[in-house]
Amino acid sequence: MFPKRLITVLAAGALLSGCLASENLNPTGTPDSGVSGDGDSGVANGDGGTVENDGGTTGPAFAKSSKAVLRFKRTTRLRNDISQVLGIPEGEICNELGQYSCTDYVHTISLGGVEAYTLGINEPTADTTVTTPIATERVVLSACERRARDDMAAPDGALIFKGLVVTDGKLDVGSAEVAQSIDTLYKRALLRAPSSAEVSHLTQLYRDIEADQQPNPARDWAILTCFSVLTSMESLFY
Amino acid sequence: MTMRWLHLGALGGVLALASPAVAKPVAPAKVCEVYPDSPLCETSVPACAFCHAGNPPPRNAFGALVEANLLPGAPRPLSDEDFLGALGTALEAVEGEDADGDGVTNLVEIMAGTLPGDGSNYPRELGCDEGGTNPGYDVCNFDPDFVFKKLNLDFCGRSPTWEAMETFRQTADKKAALHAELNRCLDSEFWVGQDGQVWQLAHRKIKPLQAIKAGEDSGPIPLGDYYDDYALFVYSQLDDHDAREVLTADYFITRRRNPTRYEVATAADPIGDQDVDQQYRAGVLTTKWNLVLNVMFTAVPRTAAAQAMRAYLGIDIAKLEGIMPVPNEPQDYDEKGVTAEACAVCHSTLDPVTYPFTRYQGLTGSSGTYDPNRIQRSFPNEGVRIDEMPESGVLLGQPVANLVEWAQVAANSDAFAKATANDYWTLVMGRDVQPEELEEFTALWQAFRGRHNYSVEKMLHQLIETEAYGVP
Repeated sequence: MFPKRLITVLAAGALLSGCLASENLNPTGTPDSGVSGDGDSGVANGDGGTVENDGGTTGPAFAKSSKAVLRFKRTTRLRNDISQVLGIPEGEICNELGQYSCTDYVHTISLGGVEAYTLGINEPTADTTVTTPIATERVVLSACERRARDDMAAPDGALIFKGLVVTDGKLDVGSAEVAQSIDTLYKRALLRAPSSAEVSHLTQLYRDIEADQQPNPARDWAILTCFSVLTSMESLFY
Repeated sequence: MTMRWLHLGALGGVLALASPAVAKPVAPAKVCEVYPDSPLCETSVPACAFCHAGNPPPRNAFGALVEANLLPGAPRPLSDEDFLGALGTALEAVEGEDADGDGVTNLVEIMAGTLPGDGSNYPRELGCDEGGTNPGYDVCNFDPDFVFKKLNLDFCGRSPTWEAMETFRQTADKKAALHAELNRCLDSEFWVGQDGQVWQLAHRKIKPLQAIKAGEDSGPIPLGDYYDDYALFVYSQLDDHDAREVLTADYFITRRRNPTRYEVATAADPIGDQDVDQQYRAGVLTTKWNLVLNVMFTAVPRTAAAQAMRAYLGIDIAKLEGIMPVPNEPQDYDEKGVTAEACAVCHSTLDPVTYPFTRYQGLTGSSGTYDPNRIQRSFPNEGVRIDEMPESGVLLGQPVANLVEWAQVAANSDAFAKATANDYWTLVMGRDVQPEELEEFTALWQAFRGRHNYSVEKMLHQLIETEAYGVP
């Protein structure tokens, strides 16, 4: 499908997400602050506005949290939020062999859940495990594929990628519909509008995908845009 | 913003020891006698790492320093009596020193709740980053927008929608809106339902095992139905119910579905297979599941007592917590050898705690019942003095005539209030109480047993207004 591009996005996602080594992270200040230096620091303010940092060289002093503790959402919250953001019923978010819930059954422990009744795991692990990022990405990717497929199949009734004009599998990435799709995704997932830098990153992502000569760059872009936002630290931690 | 302390967690170095190192289970309680206001004594007693490197007996830098000032020249090992008599003086003698070399004196560390023997663990003053700007969060103050999203995740199990978030941002009275939102979430399935947050909080207390579950979802060897235990636990934590009744209830609870609701079982609606007569009931301590799992076949069910203290009082005797020796104990009625010196220090506390459990049947006799003649009936060969074992005991230094009184003493104790508050603090903060948060935590558990009248939900309304919860 798009292995090379997926690897690129996974790497980017890993950078955005920080590491999952501990449930409680001590980031530098805000969920997005790890990339603030290169213009990605636009996080929501009280009225939903954003702040730009256009070159990554210098910017206003950034007020950091002295507490700086974030928590991984873990299994149920992760499932619920993906369901809510992407408009997919909770029971249809990533099912192994189409039957076994990735979050509630297959990857429960990896995703920070418990299995008290049969395994005697009465409390979640204090830290995330080595497979937590893999399981998380599997769940998110599965759901993003579903959202992109459904939206592309019915553009006018789409939830996030609405009204995209796709010709021969390609997008007009400068169109208002693309910008609106990104805006919708950010608001649903991160409860804020995207910064112009973030919009720029995602439109550049499309150009990179198209340059790879993949057969359906519009669909791949929708999936990976969804994936990159939903696997960001800002999305996975709170 | 108030000044806060950052607790840095990591193990420190270990110093070589000049003399034989011996752990003293009685030491932590003595430390708290000397420093009753130390945060280390707030929720329990200091952990072994206060003086030891890893597991005792090897000592860390602080432990070695104290040892050097503890009756120098006296032959080792010291008796407990000599040790306790001299420990206070030895601790005070090294207060002004900096054992771990982290630049903070031992006394300052003890009073700040950090470890004086761990060089990477020390109190550090943190200011607020007032100079910069943060478009996303108010990092210096209580941030209601941050709390709105956070409490939705913590108590409702999902983020607010964009529309709900926008509505909240425009709300004039955000404080009232936060409490309204919390009330909504406290009725959600994520919070009250089977396998919800409160239910899961009970896992480590109830320790379910599906293979021997009776009733609904029964296993191959049905011995007891732990759903009854979960139902009572969750009921006691909801609405304005008195959380103490998890230990003191003489009733059982039924659970309704869609939506989940819990109600006191009535005679017309009897519950499951609970068989202890009402006058002998003590909440979850006397459910069939608890008795089957923890009393089992034993005459002196120390496991049942230790698990009850661990689960509901936050006191783990296996970790040398809560040691309060009772004179002339242990008696070792069941001849298990607990009078040996290495055992007696803990069993002088644990055995008197256990006696009130001894009249409840686990897997002997009529399972899950109270039988005043249980010992004579089921354990005639357990020991020549087994018949002399009393039902009365001692819990937290207070005499109790039976398990019903045991439960009352436990439920009314500071330990119960602290442990309950700590359960929820840990649940929503995702970490233990930090030294800089101790003042708010103390206020929380004291209010829980005071003006909140043991209502968990009222306590949670206070919790979301704390700096620990609400400042990003």
